[in-house]
Amino acid sequence: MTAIFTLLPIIVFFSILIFVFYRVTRNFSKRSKLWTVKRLWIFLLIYVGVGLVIMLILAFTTDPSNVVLEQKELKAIIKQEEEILNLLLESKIDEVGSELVAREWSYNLPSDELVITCQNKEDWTLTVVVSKREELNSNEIYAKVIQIPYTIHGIDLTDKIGGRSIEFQRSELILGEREEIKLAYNQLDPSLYMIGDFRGMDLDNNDIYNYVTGVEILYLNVPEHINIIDEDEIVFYSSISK
Amino acid sequence: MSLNKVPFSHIVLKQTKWKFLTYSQALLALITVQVIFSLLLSDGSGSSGTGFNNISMQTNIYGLDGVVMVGGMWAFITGMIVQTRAFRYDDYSVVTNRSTASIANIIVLVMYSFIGTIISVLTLYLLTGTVQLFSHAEFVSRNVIISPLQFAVAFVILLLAASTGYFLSSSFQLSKWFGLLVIAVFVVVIRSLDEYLLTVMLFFFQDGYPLFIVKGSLISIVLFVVSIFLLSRKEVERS
Repeated sequence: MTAIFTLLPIIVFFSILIFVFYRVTRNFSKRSKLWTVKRLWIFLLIYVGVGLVIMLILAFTTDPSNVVLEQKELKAIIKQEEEILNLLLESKIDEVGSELVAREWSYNLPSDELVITCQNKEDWTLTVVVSKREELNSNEIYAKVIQIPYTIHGIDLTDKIGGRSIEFQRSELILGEREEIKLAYNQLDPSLYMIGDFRGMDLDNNDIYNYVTGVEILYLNVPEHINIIDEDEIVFYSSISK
Repeated sequence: MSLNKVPFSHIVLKQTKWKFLTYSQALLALITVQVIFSLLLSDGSGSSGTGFNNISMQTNIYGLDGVVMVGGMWAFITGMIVQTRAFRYDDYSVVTNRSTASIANIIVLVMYSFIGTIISVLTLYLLTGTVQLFSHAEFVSRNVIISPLQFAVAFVILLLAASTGYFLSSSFQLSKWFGLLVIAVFVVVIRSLDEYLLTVMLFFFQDGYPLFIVKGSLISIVLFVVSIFLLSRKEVERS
């Protein structure tokens, strides 16, 4: 009995659909002299032709920067993001590819103390890595900003994200926050999501597109005698390089 | 007594050609429903909003799910209505018997399923292209052109739906009670499974798309063959 009540709305829905399809299929040509067989097939061919043209236009006019990355490319970026922090921990800054360095500069600190201040204490999107070197006669701080490609759902947004101000002011390093950006996309994916997402079966290994990458690291190489004051606990870790 | 012995295949071929043109209104029905459905889906079959690092991103996703679902319903209903009385009476316009009519119907349903898949897939592109014309959002895609595997999966879904509809209507043709028995058996079998329809979905899709294509095709063939057998039981036989 329960089964009948459960199926009843489906039966009613299908009955209505069958009736609609039957009337259109069976009687359309009888009521209208417009849709002869020949005209119908011409209309179908035009419909298919226009669809094919639009498909080709979309395929060949898409901005290359708006292409969702392939799984292989995205996996490489994720792996790179995981490895980069280890490299910096081991002070292997030279092994970081130059294409990832967004900015590089040096600053002569006027005192032996550096206060690191974050404008937005809730912003955890910038990692600060400090590496100390043995150089007693210098107060020169070498700074590098390393930006991993910023991707959300496999779309590379590195060129679209706003800049962040990172400035030395006297004995203070002030870390600003990024400007807010709103983006809107129409994404075409000619595949069957429902089946792929069914019960967690990731038939196309699409889980990887749930990752967000884009770690931003400020790498500071400072003389060992410089005292770093980090009240906001922004500095992730530090190491001593020779 | 006829002096001409017309081959069976010749009769089937003639009927197939005739039915392919005559039933083409069904394709118009598909286009009509797909266009209406697309208008409802103008915001995409799905959307996602993400916010991270002062970036908020809204994505409207246009996938195949909706158009294939509509195509599947169309294929199921078309498979059913080719067995209605009006369509069966049309068969009397040509030389036919139950077997030739069934085989011709099945061939036409297979061809229509293929054409229906093409129409459904291209409707997705038409929808996306139209939305992009009027939308300020940027267009992104991983693969614009549908892969052959996804196309084959969509085709098998429509074929499976058509064969199911045809089998169901053939069952009702044999006897109304037999048709009801088939539905009752189906409901009982589904309810006996651990997770009802989910178990069926797992059976089809658990092992990947290529195996789904094989399973779906085999089941469609079985349903069509059984339908031919059922309908041939209605044949008036001369001793």
